[in-house]
Amino acid sequence: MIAYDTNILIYAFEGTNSWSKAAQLIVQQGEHDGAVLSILAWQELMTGAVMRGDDSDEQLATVLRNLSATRFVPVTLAICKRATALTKRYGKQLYGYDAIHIATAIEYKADFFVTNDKVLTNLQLDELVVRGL
Amino acid sequence: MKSTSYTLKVSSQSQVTLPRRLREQLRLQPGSRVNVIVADDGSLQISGKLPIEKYFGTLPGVWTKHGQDAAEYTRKLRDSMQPKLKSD
Repeated sequence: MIAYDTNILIYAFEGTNSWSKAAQLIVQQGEHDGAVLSILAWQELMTGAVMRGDDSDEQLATVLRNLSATRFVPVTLAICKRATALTKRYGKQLYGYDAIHIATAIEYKADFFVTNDKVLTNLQLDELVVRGL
Repeated sequence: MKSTSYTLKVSSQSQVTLPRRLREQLRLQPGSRVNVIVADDGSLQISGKLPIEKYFGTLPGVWTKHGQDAAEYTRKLRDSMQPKLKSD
């Protein structure tokens, strides 16, 4: 089981960035080994699509329905508790939505979390390996 | 998981018609594509889902433009939804 951030799916589905190929390999790995993302990632993806004001959100919904072994999981009390504990330990380095994404990966025992966000790749966590692309 | 079995007849033109219930189950509409996997034992697995690779690169410019990076997009979005914690 792996976990990754919203930006990985954006690189993969846009396909226009120099990181896209690497991101697509991560998404493929997730479809093979299983992947978990917070439902917040779904919302972050859909927000950008809706803001376009065209049918991008419907196209995106179709694309996301075709994910098989990649799951968007709810924000549960256990995940919130885990996220809060992370903030208690790491302070301003990890709070809010970032903490929810990381806590979700930990709660589901993901092998690692992939992101290209330097705010997260700069973290040194004892609980989870955070990797850049 | 509950499974449902269908028996489909091949027409003289080598076509099969998917029953309405199956089309609804797989959310298929005219023009939809299905993925068919043939197993070694001759069984078929029909899926309304296509391999996700088919969708790579199909949504250019939905989230980023003018050289913006995907990580930059998500960072701005998250920062806009939550206050910065004050410094000590």
